Amino acid sequence: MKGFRKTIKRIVPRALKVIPLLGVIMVFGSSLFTVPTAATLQSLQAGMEAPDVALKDTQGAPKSFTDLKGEKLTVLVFWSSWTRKSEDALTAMQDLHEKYKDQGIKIIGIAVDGQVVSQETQAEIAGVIEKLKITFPNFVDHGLKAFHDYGVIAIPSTVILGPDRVIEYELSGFPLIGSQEMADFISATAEGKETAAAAVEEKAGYKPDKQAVRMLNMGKNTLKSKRMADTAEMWFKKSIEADPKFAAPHISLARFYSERDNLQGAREHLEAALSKESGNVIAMCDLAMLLVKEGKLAEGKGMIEKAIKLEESYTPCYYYLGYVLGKEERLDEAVQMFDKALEINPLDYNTHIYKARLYEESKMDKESAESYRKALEVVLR
Amino acid sequence: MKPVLKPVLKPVLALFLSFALQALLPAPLRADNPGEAAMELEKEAVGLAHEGKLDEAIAKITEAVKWDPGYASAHVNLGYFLIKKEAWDEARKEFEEALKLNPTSHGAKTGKGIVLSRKGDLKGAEEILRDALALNPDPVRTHYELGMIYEKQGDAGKAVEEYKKGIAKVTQGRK
Repeated sequence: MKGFRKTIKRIVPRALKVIPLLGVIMVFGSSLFTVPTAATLQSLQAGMEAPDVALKDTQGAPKSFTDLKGEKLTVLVFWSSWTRKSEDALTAMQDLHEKYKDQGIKIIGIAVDGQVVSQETQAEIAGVIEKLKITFPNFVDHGLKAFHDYGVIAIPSTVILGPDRVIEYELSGFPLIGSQEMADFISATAEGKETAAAAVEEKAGYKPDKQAVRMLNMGKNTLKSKRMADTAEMWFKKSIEADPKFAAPHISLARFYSERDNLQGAREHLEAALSKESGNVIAMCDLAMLLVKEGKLAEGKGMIEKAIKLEESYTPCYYYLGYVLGKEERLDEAVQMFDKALEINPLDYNTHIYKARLYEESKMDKESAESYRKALEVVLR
Repeated sequence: MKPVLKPVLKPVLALFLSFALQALLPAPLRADNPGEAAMELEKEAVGLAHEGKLDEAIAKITEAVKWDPGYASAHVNLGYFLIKKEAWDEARKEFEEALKLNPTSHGAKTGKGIVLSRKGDLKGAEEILRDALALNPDPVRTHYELGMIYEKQGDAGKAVEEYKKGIAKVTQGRK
């Protein structure tokens, strides 16, 4: 752990340098030192089975989870050559790799630089690996398949899987305390300290009932089908029945209602999700945007700010806040929020869409067109 | 083995060996089936382009075109790879060749529209892209290109509408 602590010590002065630059973020005080409570991934969480990975090694040979998995844990690190924080995450992971590579812990780096990775970008990725002397296996996520399958929200992000591919731990961004706790979890598991690992795991979050997860997944899958989409409602309700503590099906049901303009139904389920998991930032931000839709700007903004204090890496909260600040005619601050969202995850095209929508509603057609174009460029890149 | 079976088994064995040999040979060596060889080369080329290996992709798809010059899809893909290299005139040639082979190819029409737009023929580009839009089940790129034309023409409102149509298609799961 010495090496890991050294990395953390190295990061602290850097993080302190960045804080004054963040301007508006200062308002949120201690948020940079808060352990994320939820929302590492769009729709997966600890306790759920993760999708398989289909990665290619440098010789082009395909590798799946079975080829890559560790005996005790498999740590997937989603990173990119253009995020400085990725280097911190990779360095910390290298320390853990050196210590636990022979104790059943397998660390896998997945570079998510873009939809299509040019030879120049491949060279940049290789350059980072060489500079940091990374010796654990790294892959390029061509087409961002793994990135989308896992629903990664922030870069870097870490997802720790058990031998059965069930998510044991997740961490978005690379927050100081959160990353230390994650390292403690890896150490405790590697060294066979089951009680310590269980304690860290418990702190990391509640794990839903497997049957409820299956039903939630059924609902999500039926949503993809035009003919079957309406049956998703039934599956989400069954999932709620199977595990009354599970917040995720309430959020899915709320989105289902929201897309069908049943705002009352959406609101009830977001409130239900929050009654079960008060720190669920996805539910908080979704509910906040419903309030904004109803014209309750101040109430919505308050809720988004609270969510950002709880979780620094959930991109939608930033672009929602940008949109709300813009509606309050605080355009400079709005732009800062959109920039922050892009800094966390430039691959989320919704940042550009919210910015475009704000400009469009402000009759700024030129700026709106530019932002909508950028959204499509992210999709087509 | 009874000697009477031998004459029957011989041709069966020969036929089996011939199939096995054909399956083992790499596609380009299948001179008897250039269409299939071209398709396989095209698949490899697309994979290479996806991995950012553009020069290798161009070499592979050019090989596919040589194997089957009548294969419109290979010309379209070669055109798009050349667009990435900003080789506008060469790209246009490929799209026009594809359109001769398949006049309803929306990929070729979109590609030609992109070339015309980049070369400054905005009116010609708009016309062919609109044509492509009517044929294309995955029209996100076409909406994007039309939006760019309207932006260049200074009509931001029309550009916004076009981009929004593209985004709506994305949310419907189309490409």
